[in-house]
Formats: sequence, C-alpha cells, structure tokens
Amino acid sequence: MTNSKKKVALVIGSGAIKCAASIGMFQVLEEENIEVDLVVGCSGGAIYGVGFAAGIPLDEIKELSDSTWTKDLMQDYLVNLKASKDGSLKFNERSGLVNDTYLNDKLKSISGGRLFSDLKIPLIVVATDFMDGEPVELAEGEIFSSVRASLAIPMIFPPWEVNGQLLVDGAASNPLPIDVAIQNGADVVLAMGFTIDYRSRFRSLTAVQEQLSSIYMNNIFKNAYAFHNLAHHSEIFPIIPEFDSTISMFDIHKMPHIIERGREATLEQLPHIKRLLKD
Amino acid sequence: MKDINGIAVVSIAGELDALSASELTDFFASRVGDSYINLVTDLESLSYSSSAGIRVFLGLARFFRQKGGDMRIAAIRPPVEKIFKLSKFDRIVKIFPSVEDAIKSFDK
Repeated sequence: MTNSKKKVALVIGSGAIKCAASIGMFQVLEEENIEVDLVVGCSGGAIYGVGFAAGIPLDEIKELSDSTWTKDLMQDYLVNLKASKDGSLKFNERSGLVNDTYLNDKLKSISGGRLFSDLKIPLIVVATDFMDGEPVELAEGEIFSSVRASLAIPMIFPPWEVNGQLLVDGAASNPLPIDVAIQNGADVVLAMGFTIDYRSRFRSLTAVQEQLSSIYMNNIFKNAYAFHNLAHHSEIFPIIPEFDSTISMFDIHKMPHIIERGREATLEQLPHIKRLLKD
Repeated sequence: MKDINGIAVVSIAGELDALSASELTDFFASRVGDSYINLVTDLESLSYSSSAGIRVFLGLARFFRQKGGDMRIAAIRPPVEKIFKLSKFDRIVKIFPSVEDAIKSFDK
C-alpha cells in the first residue's frame, strides 16, 4: 500500500496501562504496511509513542510495558499521603506523593538515552505547564525528560522541569492531542484514546476526589475530541478500545486483553483507513 | 428523497467518509437546499460515518437552521451512533428512533 500523498499521524492519548492497547494498533499497522509520518503521545501514550517511533520491536515494547505498570511505581505513596495529612510532609508546586525513582529508572530504560532526533519517526510529546495550565509540545532534546514530564500525574508524581518550565501530565490539558497532529500537517489521524473508569463504591475522601477528577478528565477528553472532530478538515479515525471490565493501573495480568482490544478497535477502522489511504 | 408533509426526508446508505462526503454535500446543495427548510436524514442504512461525514451533517444542520428550519436524524445504527456521541454531535442535533418520530417532532 502507498500513501505518499497523505501524511498519517498516530495520536496515543493518556490512559496509563490502557495505553498498552497501542501495541495492538502497532501490530495491525505493521501487518498492513501502513506508513506513519508522525507520532504524538500524551502521558502513558508517550511511553508507547517512543517505542513505536524508535522502531523498538513490539515484543520488546510489550516486555517494557509489563515491567512498567507495577506497584513499585507508587513507592512511598501511603507513607507520604499520611504525612501530608498530618502536616509532617510540606507540599509545594514541585512535590508529589510518590518517590519517583522507579518511574525515572523505567523511563530511562525505555527511552534508552535517545534524543528526539534519533527516532525513526518524528515524535511530539505533550505535557502541561503547571503554572499556566497550557499544553506544551516537546519534540527536541532528550526524550526521557519529555516523557517524564508528560507522565507527571498531579499530586502523585512530582512535576518535571524542561527548558525552565515546570511541567505536569499532558492529560491535564490535552488528553488526546489530535490538534497537535493536525497543526503539524497530518491529513489522516489515527487517534487512540481512553476514558477513565468510574468508581461504584466510595469509602474515603480520596475515592470521592478520584471520582471527581475522573469526571473532569473524561469531559476534557470528550469535549476536546468533539471539537477537533468538528472543527478540522483532516480525517480523524477514533480508535477507542472497549474493555470487558475496569482496568486498574497495575492490572498487568490483563495485558493480553488490553492489547487484543487495541487490535480489535484498530481492525474496526482498518477498512476505512485503507480506503482513504488508497485514494 | 421523499417529501412528507413538506419535509425533505433523505435516506443515506453505505459508508460516509472523506471520499463520499463531498458527493453528499453536492446532492443536498442541488436537490434539497433551495426547496425545503426542514430535513430528516434517515440513517437506517448508513453503516459508517467518519469525522468528514459528521462535518457534512453539521453543515446541513447549520444550513437549515439559518433558513429558519432544522434538521433531524432518524433511525441511526449503533456504530454511527457511537461516533456521533463521541463527537457530541447528539448534543447539537436531535436524534429520533424512526423517521415517523422525527417528522412528528417538527409539529411540537
């Protein structure tokens, strides 16, 4: 298949472990020889975006993925949460409840010391400026710092400074950055996005806060998608995997299901994608 | 296309994407636009709509509303409904289970 006329962008939105569904999408794109000209990743999606853009074999991406979403990511969370409540841990704009050593080690191993200029496919990572709330596009220099910033879930992981800007999770401003792909010339956008599962039981203040945050985040996601879909002239293919049950951050055992659902969601759109690229 | 009580009822079949969208826009411009102020699009046989397809419907809704009328959508199928909801298009245009219901809604 040739698609020299149309610039194809892959957008992988935020969604933590659910972003592993992009491995299923990569499988389909490889099988069908669909060339991708640009990758845009946000938060968890940035991790997989790096893997694909760097040309890391899919088996290896899967292995890295399996070893990333473990409880080690939440090092010292409960201790720090308690300390923040009793006042012994003072919070400021650079704080997080988690000791980010494990996260940083994992991200360093995934990015492998690469620069953006080392990638086979151009990549743009999206984070959020903590001081003004605006989305920030990162596409130069060291990959590790950009992905780390994009993944800095507010209050959980400490923000990360890049080029003098204090950055947090891209999901806070642009969970499915279709606009970034379009502004960078994409004619066809394959947009894989995820909503956050809602809780059904509330036994703590944290649970209620999490639910409220999920409501905010899901509405940002849906409103942004609706806007991009109606406002732009590029063709946008939504690839929204549907899962059998709630997926929690450390559900490694559900990885085969997550990847399969990513594959299925991509296959659902495939005839339409191929038809458009063939034209 | 049918005329039911002075309302244009247009059935759209197959798949609607960037390749077929302009064809549909041309059809509405030449066959429906000048003669009617209200439109019902019957989507019972539409199996797929891309973002370009939704933009055609948005354009139609704008066009008919500017003329003082409106557009209704009827008999939408689940795959198309899913993309309409994701795009929040169901918050812009009224959707009815059948053409009959959509036509009746213009009386209210």
